[in-house]
Amino acid sequence: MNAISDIGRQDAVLHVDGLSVAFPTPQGLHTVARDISFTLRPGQVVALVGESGSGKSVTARSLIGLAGANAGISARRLTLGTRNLLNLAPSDWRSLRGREIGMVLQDALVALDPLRTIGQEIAEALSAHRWGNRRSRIQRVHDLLKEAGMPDPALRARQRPHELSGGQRQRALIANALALSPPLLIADEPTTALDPTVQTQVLDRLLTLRRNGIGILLISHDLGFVARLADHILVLQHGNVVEQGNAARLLNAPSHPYTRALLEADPLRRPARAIQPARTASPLLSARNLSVRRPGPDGMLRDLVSSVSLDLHPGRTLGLIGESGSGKTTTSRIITGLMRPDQGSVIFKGQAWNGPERSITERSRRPLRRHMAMIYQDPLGSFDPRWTVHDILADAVEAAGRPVTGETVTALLDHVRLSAAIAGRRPRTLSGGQRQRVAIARAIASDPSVIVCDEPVSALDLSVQAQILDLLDALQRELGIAYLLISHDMGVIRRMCDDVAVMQAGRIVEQGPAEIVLRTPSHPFTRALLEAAHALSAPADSHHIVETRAI
Amino acid sequence: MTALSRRTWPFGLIARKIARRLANAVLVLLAAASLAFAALHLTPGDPVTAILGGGTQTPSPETIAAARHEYGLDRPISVQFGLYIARLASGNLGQSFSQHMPVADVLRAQGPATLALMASALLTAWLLAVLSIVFAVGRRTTAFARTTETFFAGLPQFWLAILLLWALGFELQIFPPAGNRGLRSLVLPTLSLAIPLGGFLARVMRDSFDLALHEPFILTARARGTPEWLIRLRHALRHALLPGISLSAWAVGALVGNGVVIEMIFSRRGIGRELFLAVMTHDMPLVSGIILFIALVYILAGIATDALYVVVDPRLKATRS
Repeated sequence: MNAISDIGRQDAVLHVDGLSVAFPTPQGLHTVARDISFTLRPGQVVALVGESGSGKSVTARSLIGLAGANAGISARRLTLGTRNLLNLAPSDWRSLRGREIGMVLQDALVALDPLRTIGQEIAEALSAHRWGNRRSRIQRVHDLLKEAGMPDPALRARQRPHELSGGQRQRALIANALALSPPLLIADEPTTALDPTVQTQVLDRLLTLRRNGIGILLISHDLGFVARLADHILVLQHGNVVEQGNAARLLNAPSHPYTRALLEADPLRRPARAIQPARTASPLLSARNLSVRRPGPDGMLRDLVSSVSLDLHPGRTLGLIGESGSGKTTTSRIITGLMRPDQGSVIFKGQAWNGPERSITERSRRPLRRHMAMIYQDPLGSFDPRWTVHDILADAVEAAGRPVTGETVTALLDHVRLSAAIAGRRPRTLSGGQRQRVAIARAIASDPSVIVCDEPVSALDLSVQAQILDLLDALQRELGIAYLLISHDMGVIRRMCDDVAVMQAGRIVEQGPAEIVLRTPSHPFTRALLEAAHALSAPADSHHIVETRAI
Repeated sequence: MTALSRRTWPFGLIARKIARRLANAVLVLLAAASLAFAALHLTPGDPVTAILGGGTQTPSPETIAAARHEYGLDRPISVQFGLYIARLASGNLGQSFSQHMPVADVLRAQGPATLALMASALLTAWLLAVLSIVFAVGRRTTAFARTTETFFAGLPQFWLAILLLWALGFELQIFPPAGNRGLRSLVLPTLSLAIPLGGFLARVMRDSFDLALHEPFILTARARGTPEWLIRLRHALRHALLPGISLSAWAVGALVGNGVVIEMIFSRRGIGRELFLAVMTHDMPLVSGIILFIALVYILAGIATDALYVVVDPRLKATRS
């Protein structure tokens, strides 16, 4: 060892040399991460990047002793500051966690105990290490929340995760990990599946922490996000590091094909949708002045959606954008006829499809039902877990009134580029991308003219997202289907949509052809959404200067 | 940690909730009283026998007629029902035929013993269930606990009572085999009721508990350095409580029913034994009094359940209004 690397080790927060993680299986030892080495210094961000199953999360968890009781961890060297992390007793790990290493998980809605107030949760991080007394802990909780940029910390401390906005929740989660100012923070997919505005807030917070000298180990499948933050990147595939190095160099000149594939998967780096020929005169589905009011938690009536009007044209895609709670899902429920509006009407194929009139019932909708299909964010929840793929598709074909043969199911699988061999498997044994393909096959089984896609890819890895979006695109050209695409992701919208409607607080604030709305947005909210999306996916060269907006 | 968990309650919502609750309670009591009335008039037997001192006496037809008239039993059944409901509505539970004393006095004398047994059985069952869930750590111990819980849940309470009576009451003479004197006499009947119920409770809560242990917030708690026992007790257990609370509301009713047998076996004073005797002697006012008492306990258990739901899971506050 030469002198320079020894000095480097001295001030390193975390030094990992030759780390491998393996689990015993009936077939023998299964290695999920192999020979990983990196050094993390104060004020630096090291990122582990890869798709789900690449071993990045388990690597991160092995650094905090939470990879599982039967995980076999080996390394040439594994030190936190001056402390050896190999072969620690459970009680030693416990005293390290929270005090020397903080960890932030994906979504604060599930990563903080939903039954406890965030104040109780953060205070537990203090009391677990016998920090202070009850009174001083409450004070410290308020200070931490204030430091995290939480308005009115004393009030927020008494609220539970579901009572907070997405950004506030995520701030609370980070404050919980930093309660005892650990020098190392592990952030495991800290922004995945969050609204872009919340993502920028999290990014902003992490940048501040880095400036304050905290070492951050970032785990993500999103190279665009990583590019904003990381100094050093390791790209993992099947537990192996396929490429690692300085972030700017790696992002500008990736040498491994897998890294390039990950980069190209970022929807904002892909070409926008080509402008389609002008729309036909009559829309396929037309919604006019939809309004729904429901009592809120305080018993007061609240507009869920208000005066929403949309037109869906054959073979075109209409994108519905907005943050969580903006009324996107309510709109889609009315359009699919799952919910009756208080006012307004939906005309589908020239017939009354939904409205407040009692004469419109599910029975009157039934003849048209098979012309409308749906795809959800989480297909697994929409499958009967005991059914095989064949059962799921055969059921959909039958519901559409068509005879079921082996060929119909094979043809459907063929349409979504799945092999016929998958027909005998059950949804749980499929990958996320395969499940979504099966969901798409089920949707097209009735030969629909409209498919409502509610966040169809936001639960998937970026590289899989790109494949699913390509598939939807191809099916539209083959079958002439119209899509209503609901998403919070600007990249997806830009990639897929001909027309765009932007929703905020139950209203459509801007609507028009995608190339106009996305290029020259007129409403400040649309501009904010676009800025947030670009802030997250800007190229690597400017990643030290960031301007983000807290909302 | 009160300063971090204080919450505010909207007053109007609470008032509306209470009003609806009261209306429901009155309806349930009315239904219970009507059912008791119907059941006793549909079953064979004559209440006059009870009034005149049971089956051993042979009263003259004149005496029977006089008694019939005195208690209003010669009037049409609809009139009898009307009078019965009116009497109950005025808060008068009436006079027991067989014991020749006000029903309210019988309840006052017998109620506390039964309530004490129910409370101690429920508490013991919860204690057993929580201990088994929280402290069975590791694959093997958990499997053992699971099996034991299922075994306990399947035990018939009367059989367990006889077994305990024989082993601890007569052979080892650790606890008194019968009677109502002191806490020690409560131990055997409590165990007979609590062991099977505890098994049930543990089985119902264990699945939610295991599910909760795999939630991300448990990982967050571990990453904080929170000790494992505290994670199980404070985080995971709370997520498992709701099914247990639902089951407890049902169990309160079941305990009264099973209490009949247990009170007989251990010769305890109590509502259960009174109910058995009152039905045998066709003591209409006492039967309906006891049934109303049990219905009231049920209603209170329901209210307590709803309140506990919201305490355990404050997210339900909005949906359960």
